[in-house]
Amino acid sequence: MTATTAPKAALGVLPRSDGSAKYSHAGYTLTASVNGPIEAQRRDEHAYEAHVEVIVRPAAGVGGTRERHLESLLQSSLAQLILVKNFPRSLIQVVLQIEDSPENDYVNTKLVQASLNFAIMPALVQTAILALLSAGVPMRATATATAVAVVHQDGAKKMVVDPSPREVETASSVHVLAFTSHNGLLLAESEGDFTVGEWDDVYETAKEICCRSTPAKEGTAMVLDDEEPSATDMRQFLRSTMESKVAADLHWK
Amino acid sequence: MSAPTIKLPAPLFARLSPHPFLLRNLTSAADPSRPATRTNGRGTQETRPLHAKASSLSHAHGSSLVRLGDTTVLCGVRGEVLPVERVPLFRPVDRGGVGLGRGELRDYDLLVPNIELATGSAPQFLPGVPPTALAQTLSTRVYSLLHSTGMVGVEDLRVWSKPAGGGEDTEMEGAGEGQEEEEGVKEEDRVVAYWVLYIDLLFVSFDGNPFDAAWAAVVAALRNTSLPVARWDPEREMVVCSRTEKRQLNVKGLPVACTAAVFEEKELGEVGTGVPEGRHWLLLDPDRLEETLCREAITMVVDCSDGETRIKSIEKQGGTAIGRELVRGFATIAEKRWKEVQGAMK
Amino acid sequence: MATGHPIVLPGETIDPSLIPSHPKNPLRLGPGLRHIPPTDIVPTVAGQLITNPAKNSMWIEYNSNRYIPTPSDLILTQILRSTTDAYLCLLSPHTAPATLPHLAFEGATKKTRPVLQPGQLVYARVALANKHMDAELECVSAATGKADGLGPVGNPAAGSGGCAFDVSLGFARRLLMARSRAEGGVGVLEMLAGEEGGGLAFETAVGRNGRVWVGSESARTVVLVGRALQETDRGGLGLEGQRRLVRRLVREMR
Repeated sequence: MTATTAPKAALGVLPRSDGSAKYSHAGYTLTASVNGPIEAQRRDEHAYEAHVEVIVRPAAGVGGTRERHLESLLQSSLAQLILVKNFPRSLIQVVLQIEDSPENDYVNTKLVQASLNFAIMPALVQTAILALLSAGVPMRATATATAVAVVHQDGAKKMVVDPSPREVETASSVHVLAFTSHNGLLLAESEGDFTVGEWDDVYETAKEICCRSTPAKEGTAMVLDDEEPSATDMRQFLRSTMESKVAADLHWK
Repeated sequence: MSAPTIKLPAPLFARLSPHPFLLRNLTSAADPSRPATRTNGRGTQETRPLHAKASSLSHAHGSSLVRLGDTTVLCGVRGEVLPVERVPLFRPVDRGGVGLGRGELRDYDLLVPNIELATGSAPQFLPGVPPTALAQTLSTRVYSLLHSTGMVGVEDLRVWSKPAGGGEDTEMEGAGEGQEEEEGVKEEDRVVAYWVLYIDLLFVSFDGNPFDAAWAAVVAALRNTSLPVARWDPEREMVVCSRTEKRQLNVKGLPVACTAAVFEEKELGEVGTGVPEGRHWLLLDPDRLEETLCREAITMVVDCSDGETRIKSIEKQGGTAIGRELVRGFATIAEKRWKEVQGAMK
Repeated sequence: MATGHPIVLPGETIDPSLIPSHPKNPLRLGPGLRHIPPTDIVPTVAGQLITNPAKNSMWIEYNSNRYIPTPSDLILTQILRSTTDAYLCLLSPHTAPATLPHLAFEGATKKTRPVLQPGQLVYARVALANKHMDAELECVSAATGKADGLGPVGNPAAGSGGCAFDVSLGFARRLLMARSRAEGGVGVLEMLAGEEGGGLAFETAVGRNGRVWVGSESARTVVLVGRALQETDRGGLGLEGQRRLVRRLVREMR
């Protein structure tokens, strides 16, 4: 139900932050704000580079250990992309607020924990990247991410892109992969039970979604084309989002 | 090559400029043909031997002490009975029904890992501070892996109102109390309580690679865990545990974690076209100095106990040096590590 | 968008044909670009790549929500607090405060310095702005010793506080142009004061940091002018659109 929805994004939604983005895809809606470079606290100050701080706020309640884990994953990935050496002794703060997550299919379950981070990781990465771009924070490269689940159904193996929580629950393995715009594997998180061969297939599928090298002009047509097996091309999406943002920004240039 | 005029002792050099220190050790300028050696004397693909000792705590239901070089972790497993009346949103379970094994474990929080990094185990852990991000991250990773591997089956943690199958358990409790059995027949068989396993880990000393050590300690402690036989006492309407009889916890498989960090000569993306990229080394089982110098790390959890190598988890973050080929190659390294750890666990 | 000015994302390769190559002048890189030795030029922000073959320079035009202080920019700032010899002022919500020395006002001496309360809006000029340093402001021209219209704006005690409105940085720049109607395509203020607006009486102070102060005898006018500015900014209205907007607002307000 969620796999076919195209990602949606709006940039600069928060008036008081340096950059912000609202992103919704596969049932998740997130808002990110980026402020930076700002003054760092003494304990976070690095003599040679900026400290990247990521804060993940859940839709309800306060963050727990799960959020800390997501934060540390994002922090290590974003610090690779941001040119941290440009801003010594300062802080670049990324706050991600989860607004909406897909309904759980079960009736009687309490809020699903740890495994949920797999499905939400790509949305977190995308939102953070969009907000950083909107803030004009100097970066080495951009990145795109996706989640893939391997589901065994009737003896056959099937790859599900952007799995729903129900599919995550029944999948034999779930994978999140993020690629930089230089086609480097930035982040790879996998959980479940799988073999090297299966991981290879997952890698292929994810790479197809994240790094399809489409020429800029034809790409627009391809995204609209519903016959394409994997409908979303994340890199093209990122590009077209930024293009419209820059065009709007430069109207009063 | 001109000899340096000032000679610094190695520990001072390591403290002053750790990155060149490790780099010089790895490149070993004196003899390029020699294999790269790390500052701790190990080869790049050489791990520290793992020592595991089971049942080191007398009051826990299961425990282990794992040493990985200078990283020492103590793990204690303690079971506590959780009556179903105290479970919010409890759904009754049928015996023999397929049920949602993983769902129960997760929904009722039957496995509770907690990690503490003891003050003084490493200089960066200060007394009197809230749990560090590292401790919280480790807890989450252990928690997810415990659930995703399905090492502990929920059947072992259920306490039924009537003992299972009427096997040896019946003999124990039977003891001439025929009346009770009659009542048990009338009453429908149901789950009355769950065992909750509190898995507490304490880092006694910390010298890098905390996750491998913590996970090995969890596995060793769970394999060592025996829970007292618990049964439902209908007269007192409560669960009673046998003082003498214990049942070994069934632990499925032997997942082993294997971590490596990537040490880079140059910084990523700083190389223009036409210039050779900086070299990088995969340092297996990194120590504390190496961890502070490496941004990228990979952890792979494998289980070869069924003969075939099954990957249970991959966690790779913080850089782009590890690509597809390296991940594939790392599976072989993890396999080798699995054999070593399997030997140590016996 | 002209093909000569493509939109680039961080880390993308720039088409070598776009890089100006002047035989003598060295290539000059502006904001948003970095050079990786030996030959690579890589964008670091998302924006429009602008090249100037005559000056042999290239840069990326982009817009963040944050104002970066540049010397001699006029800005509208808010006093945060006072220290022994300077006021600390807020330029944008998350940046370090700028300093405004007590003596940087017209005719100020150690004994007769202006007393400003926290929250007071001040129209000032950026005197000094360096990377990695807090900006310094002034309300007096160093050459003439005159205020030239700079200084605290609005007087809440007298009931004519006016109001500050947020606009985008690009729009503020256009408002500050000497001939903003002809060159910048922004005539909304002129129209409000002119026949379209029925000759409204108000005063403005446009800050390059994206804040505009509007003051008037009547609160109704302040709101009307502020709304006209913000709607023009967000809608990206042309001159004709601005005229229609002003007429509509004036009609609604009556």
